[in-house]
Amino acid sequence: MMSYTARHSASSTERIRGNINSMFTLFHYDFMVRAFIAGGIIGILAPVVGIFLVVKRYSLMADTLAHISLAGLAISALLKTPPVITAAATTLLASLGIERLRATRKLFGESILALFLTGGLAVAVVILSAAKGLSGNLLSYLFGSITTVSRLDIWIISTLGIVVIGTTLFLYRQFFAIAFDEDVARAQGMPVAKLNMLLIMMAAVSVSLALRIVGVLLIGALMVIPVLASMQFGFGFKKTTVLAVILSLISVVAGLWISFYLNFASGGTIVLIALLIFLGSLFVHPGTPRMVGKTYFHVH
Amino acid sequence: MQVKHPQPIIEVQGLNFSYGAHPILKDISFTIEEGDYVAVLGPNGGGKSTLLKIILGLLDPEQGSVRVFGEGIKKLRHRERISYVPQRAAQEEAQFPATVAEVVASGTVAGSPLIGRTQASSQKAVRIALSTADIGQFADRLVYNLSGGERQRVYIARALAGQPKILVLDEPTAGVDVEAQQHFYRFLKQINKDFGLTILFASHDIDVITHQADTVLCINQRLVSHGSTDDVVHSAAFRQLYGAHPRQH
Ligand SMILES: Nc1ncnc2c1ncn2[C@@H]1O[C@H](COP(=O)(O)OP(=O)(O)OP(=O)(O)O)[C@@H](O)[C@H]1O
Ligand SMILES: [Mg+2]
Repeated sequence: MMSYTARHSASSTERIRGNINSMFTLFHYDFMVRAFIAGGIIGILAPVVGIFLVVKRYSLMADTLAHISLAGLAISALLKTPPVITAAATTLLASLGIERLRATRKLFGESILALFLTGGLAVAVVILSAAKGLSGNLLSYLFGSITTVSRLDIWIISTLGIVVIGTTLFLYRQFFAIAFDEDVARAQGMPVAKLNMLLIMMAAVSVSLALRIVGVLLIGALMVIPVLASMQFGFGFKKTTVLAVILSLISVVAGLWISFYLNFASGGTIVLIALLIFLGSLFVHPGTPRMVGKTYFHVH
Repeated sequence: MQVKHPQPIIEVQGLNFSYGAHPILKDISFTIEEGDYVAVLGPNGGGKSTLLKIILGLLDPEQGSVRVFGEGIKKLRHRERISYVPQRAAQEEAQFPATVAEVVASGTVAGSPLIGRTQASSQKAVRIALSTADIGQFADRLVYNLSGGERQRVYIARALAGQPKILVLDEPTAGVDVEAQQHFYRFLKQINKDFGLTILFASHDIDVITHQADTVLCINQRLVSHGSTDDVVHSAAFRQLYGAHPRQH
């Protein structure tokens, strides 16, 4: 403020430019640029894969995979292997187990998830308590940290991210048909088991990629909340997907921004913004529900 | 092109099936010919749904064989030639965000290449299916906002969009009022004639069926009777199962 008032020549446009410049100072930091690239890819990835989990009533799948990827991180600390790759490999392996078990139809889907979620956490805790000297990194994996995204991470996240987004979009119609009615798809000879497996593998990879940004504990939220918010608008599947991606990107960008300036944990900030958007979406009344709201108001 | 001598299109031989220790189907054999309009009739729990699922390859029989288009169902290529409308469609209660057009289009997916955009021929099939089932005006509405009967027509349209040779429906008019039922089975009769489509549907409602289907397969664990609708209704075995007079509404 002082410098502006001191300079009589400073015009208002310059002043605005100064403010805008300070809004973008975060891009002077390489790690923030990397955070935005990684965040952008995950922001698209999470709801594109997440919507299929939500409509298959598999919303807890992402959380389950996240806890397993935590076990993967613990393993990587123990074996000194690269974290993201190790977490992805562990989660992929477990996802195959989950789908196998689900295909036997011996257990409820949610029971299987509960088994793997608690199992993953147990493995992680045991390994971490045995191997010392991890606590610093662990916190950032749990809750996400924008400063930890390395150049190598960017490569891994963009390559795998583009593969997953591409595959999901290519097989979008197949995934939709199966999600909507598995028996009908199977009766028509679609490779349902293989496609289900593939989808869960996509989810596993997505979760592992998102570790750095939103953290293990919050990735499930980013895959599910923007989708739930988008579903409140009463659109068809395609529009719901597109809107979920937009809402997710808004959450990621705004969350990174705020967490940079206010020094908040990035993952929590992103998810809180997604939750705020979800709350707002509850006030959207497409078509008939609005009528219900009105009658409710007038009835005493 | 009309087939002069109808070919067997579904052949079931010596079929046995049980859930655990409970025998559900016992020694069932029959043949369905191309272009037949067949009702599978039987009491609740008689095994109708089970039989249809075995024919569709969703369940494996313990004994016996099912041949469709002259092939074992598991080995059959181009299974998209068979369309299925299940007893209670899977996502009926869920708030699944999907428009009528999207659901009907999903019926073409099995028959199109694994990867790629919707083909023009599929888009055309979807349009025809929408108008055949008379739901063109609903195309952009959400499926979960439709009434039960309207939704049923969406699932029929999805089945038709796959341009099947065989249409298998399980209790397609459950929850549909009697008048609409009559209308619906006449509509099936129409597509059976117009497209030469082989239709196999399950129901436990005698009245509607006996007025519409050409052939009846009566099932109560065993094959009670099989033949033209008139013959079956007047057969002794059928009378024993349902009483002398089909119940009136
Ligand atoms: N998954 C299952 N496990 C065990 N038993 C089953 C299972 N599904 C069906 N059954 C039993 O198999 C028998 C036949 O069932 P099915 O669904 O084929 O009958 P249905 O003729 O279609 O009856 P409805 O008219 O009620 O539809 C029933 O006694 C049922 O309880
Ligand atoms: Mg049944």
